[in-house]
Amino acid sequence: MKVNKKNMKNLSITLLFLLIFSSLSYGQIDRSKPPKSGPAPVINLGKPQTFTLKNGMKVLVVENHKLPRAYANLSIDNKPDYEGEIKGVSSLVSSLMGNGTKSISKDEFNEEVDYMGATLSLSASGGYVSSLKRYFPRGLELMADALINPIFPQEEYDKQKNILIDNIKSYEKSVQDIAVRVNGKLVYGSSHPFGEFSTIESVNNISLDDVINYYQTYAKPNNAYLTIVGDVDFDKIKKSVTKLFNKWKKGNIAELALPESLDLDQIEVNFVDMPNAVQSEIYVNNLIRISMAHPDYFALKLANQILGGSATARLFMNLREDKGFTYGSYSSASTSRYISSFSASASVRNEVTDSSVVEIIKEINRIRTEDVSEEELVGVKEKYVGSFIMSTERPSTIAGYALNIDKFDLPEDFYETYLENFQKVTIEDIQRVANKYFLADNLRIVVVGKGSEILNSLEKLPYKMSFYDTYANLTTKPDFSKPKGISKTTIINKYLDAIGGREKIESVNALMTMGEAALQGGAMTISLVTIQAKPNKISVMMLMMGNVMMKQVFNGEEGYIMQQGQKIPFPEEEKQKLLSTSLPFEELSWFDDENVVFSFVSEEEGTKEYVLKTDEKTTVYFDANTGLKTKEVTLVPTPDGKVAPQSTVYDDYREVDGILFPFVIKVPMGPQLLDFHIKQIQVNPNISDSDFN
Amino acid sequence: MKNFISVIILCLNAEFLLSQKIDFHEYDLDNGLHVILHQDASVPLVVTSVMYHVGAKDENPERTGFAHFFEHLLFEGTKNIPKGEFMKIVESNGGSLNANTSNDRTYYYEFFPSNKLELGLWLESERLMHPVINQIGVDTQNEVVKEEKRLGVDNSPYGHLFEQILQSLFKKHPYKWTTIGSMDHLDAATLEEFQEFNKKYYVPNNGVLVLAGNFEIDEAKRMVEDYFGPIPRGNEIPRINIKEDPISQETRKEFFDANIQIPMVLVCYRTPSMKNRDAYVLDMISTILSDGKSSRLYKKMVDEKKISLEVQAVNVGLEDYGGYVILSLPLGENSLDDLLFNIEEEVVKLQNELISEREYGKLQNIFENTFVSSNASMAGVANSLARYYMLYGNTNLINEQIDIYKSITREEIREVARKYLNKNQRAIIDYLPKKDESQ
Repeated sequence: MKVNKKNMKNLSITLLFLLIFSSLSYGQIDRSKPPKSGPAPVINLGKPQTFTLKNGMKVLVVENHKLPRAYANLSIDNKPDYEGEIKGVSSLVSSLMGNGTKSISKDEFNEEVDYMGATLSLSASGGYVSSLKRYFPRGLELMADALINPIFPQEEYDKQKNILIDNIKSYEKSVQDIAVRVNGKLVYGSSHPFGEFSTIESVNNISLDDVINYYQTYAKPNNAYLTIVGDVDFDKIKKSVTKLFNKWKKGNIAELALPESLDLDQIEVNFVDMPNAVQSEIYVNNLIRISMAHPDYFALKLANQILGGSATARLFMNLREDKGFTYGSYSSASTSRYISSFSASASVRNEVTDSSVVEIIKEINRIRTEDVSEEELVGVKEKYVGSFIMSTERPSTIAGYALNIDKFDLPEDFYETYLENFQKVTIEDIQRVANKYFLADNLRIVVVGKGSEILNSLEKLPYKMSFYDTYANLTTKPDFSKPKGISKTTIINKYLDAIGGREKIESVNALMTMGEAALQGGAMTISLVTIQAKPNKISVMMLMMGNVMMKQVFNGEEGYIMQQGQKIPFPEEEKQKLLSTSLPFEELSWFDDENVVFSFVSEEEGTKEYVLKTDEKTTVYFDANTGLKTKEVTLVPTPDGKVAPQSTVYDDYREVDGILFPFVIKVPMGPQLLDFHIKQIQVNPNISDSDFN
Repeated sequence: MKNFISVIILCLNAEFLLSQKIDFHEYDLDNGLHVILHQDASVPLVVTSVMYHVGAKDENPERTGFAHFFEHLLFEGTKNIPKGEFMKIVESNGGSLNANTSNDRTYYYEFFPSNKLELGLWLESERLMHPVINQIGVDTQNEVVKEEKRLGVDNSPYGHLFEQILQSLFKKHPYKWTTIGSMDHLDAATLEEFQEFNKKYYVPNNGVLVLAGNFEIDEAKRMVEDYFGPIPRGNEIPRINIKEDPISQETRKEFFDANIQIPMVLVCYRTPSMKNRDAYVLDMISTILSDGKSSRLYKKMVDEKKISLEVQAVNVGLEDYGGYVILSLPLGENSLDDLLFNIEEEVVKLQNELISEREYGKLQNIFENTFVSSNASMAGVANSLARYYMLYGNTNLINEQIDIYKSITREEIREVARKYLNKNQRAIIDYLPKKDESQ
């Protein structure tokens, strides 16, 4: 801007203008709402260079010279195979591979991988190696060697088999894990590869020969893809790949037809009873048959996103934000060349299991019958656009996309037109695909939970019910009816009779017990000394190697907890609990306590037990035959915001002064039980008030 | 022949450094905000991040947990962003966000498709310019932070690990408390105290803004000026200067955690600031001891002797001091003393013998690989730029740090092991399972 020096007036106007202008330069931005976006970035998807070896392996190479590193990913795309009687064999093959080869020992192999700063892994269906550019040729060579010439030593096989069995054992009581396996088997069918799961029995059936045989049958190049991404030169890598992998011999992989998975002709509830469940696992599913190449792909992804794809989607907003039934509820609609399923799921509190099923079905029906809002549709499109755009930052994405195009027979420009195709989806499309793929009249509702608390209300739902065990075998309806003539009073009386008779028990004024538990396999000992006396006095002391670790004292009126030298007053809640009980035998106070009720009959592992619920969080088990107290289960909060049961187990009852006491008490410590062995019990010992100071 | 090989290696390195270089442009706004721009037209996204030089160590000892509390509070909303909308705006624009707090600094970032740069700048400038700090927000986040402590520390297996390490190593310096801080302190804090904290530390002259990704430099500079320029400079920020007495006597203590079943032994040493060259050497020592299946401690204790489930050596780098920790979990019935004995044996070996040429070569490769990978994502580059500027005072460390590692000799490794990893300088923690007192 030129300033006319001759005209001061003009100059000052110009200055004024400049001032206004400069203040406007801040004012130009409107902070009151989010700024508008610029035009969407153009995505430059790299195209891989490809070649195919004589043995059938397809190789895709994406040269990316941004960083001096590269990786190779091998995936063997065999048709899913059914492992049947020896299910688990493929997992064993995977855990054995990549630990040495016919020409390199395990130690040398590991040392060399580490030396290069590389990462390398192998499995029955592929492998992976990544490293700096200069070590990549050697890394690839090691991977090829480990793939083509693996060793299966007996020692390593035994070790891995034990680990696999331990893993299976570790989730036998996990409601979540059981729900996943049962659901898969029910949805896809028991003879479908997508439905089978490993059991201790099936793993025990596996022999080392089976492992070797599995490797020899399936680890073939026929259907293999090798993707190489990074700072490589196509011509050079083609040469070395050819040299390394030509040795890999083609084989015959019998392609068995997959058994037909069957749709339901009406809504059905499949119930699995797990008495230890504190939350119900719900899966609402139907089979879908849509591959990625289908034109409905885009609309289906968006419809699912609106229904249950994230923590801002409808299922989450309804079941968690609005109703507070659950920590989260989501849905998925996966696509496959073979078969896949639509599935909406939630883990919910026992008492709202039936209502949750109703709400999930309501949301499925709503998206089928009502238009989604423009805002919802735009929102989920943006989410897809954003994550697609940002995923292209990683070179691995480009390789993955190229692989998909080949594997799933997608149009060559599938990913170039990907965003466009999402943008084209209309409100009508969402409703159309929701009707086509979310089959509101054919849903299989799998519920795994505590039957004694949830079955009554579930049965009131207007759906056909069938019952399964934890292995997804059809079974009969569990019987939770309370036996005639059994009540809270008879259970407590039988217990008191069993341990010495009510009169005898009531005559106990004080009790002292001392127990010990071994820690770290005997390296350390924890002792627990308990003194109890009428009325409601208690002192519990925990000692480790002679030092007091923790002490809790209540003198009938007040108390404290001492821990690591810190003394804190007794929590009010605990205090009220103690005041209303009848130490040393709290069971005596249960006759008149309205909170204590006969809850259900438990039949686990052939033992029948009567279960009393003593408060919101606690249940106590009594053996139906002997009358003795067998365990106490308390619900405690877990780190992920749910609750988990913890059991204290009573065992090995022995007589002391005419009364039976459990001499082994197993107390939970983390996921394990710590065994306390009672060393000493004194009935009516000499005690004074100072014991409760 | 040998000379010939080193020439080839030199060439390789030269090529490597060339292709690896991260270009950046840095300057200050008038209000003191430091700005770093890293442009990369090959990616479709942009990261907007701000690091503030305030962490747990800046807290009043009676108000611990404040720095972390702010990481939550500053998502509550601003004059122009209603309560609870921050996250929704980011999601419905295809972006994602996060934040974290350490003992030294607090970091906020979003990443978006590159056409949303302005949105990212608006969000971050609103956070600095117009945060709404009121009682409702404080109360809401108080609950959230308590929940976070319950899940992440109190109910989490080994959740007290870091706290115990810090308490063992620091007696005077505020590193003795963790970022989550004390819930009692947070409960006792008044709204005015939170507002004061914001006024003191959340000022442009205490922050660094990083843009990394696909944008036009001139346009970005203009937008940065538009959104951050009008924010007034704050007062000079007070810095702490607290020195610890050297540790000259071994200590050993027990800690009981109700959430674990397998005990753990920790051997802790206090080390110098992460800016110190010795800290780089200690990183290398960690790698020798426990990085990979062929590392010394892993191979001996986990693979061969089968006495340990896991063994790890970690160098905790902080601005004023560091901590060097070797931890191990026993397998089966093996005792913690057994583990300790084996760990000590390897530490002494490092003090007495030079590592082999082969191991030295492995170190070089591993550090080079880590260095290359650390700059693989824009989010990683943005974080590194902010950290190197703010905590190390040299933004170009993003390119130069690898030279420091490469210059470390085998003799230096032995010297540093001798200097810091002595028996009388260590604090041992027996981290043991505790019976849950609620049972």
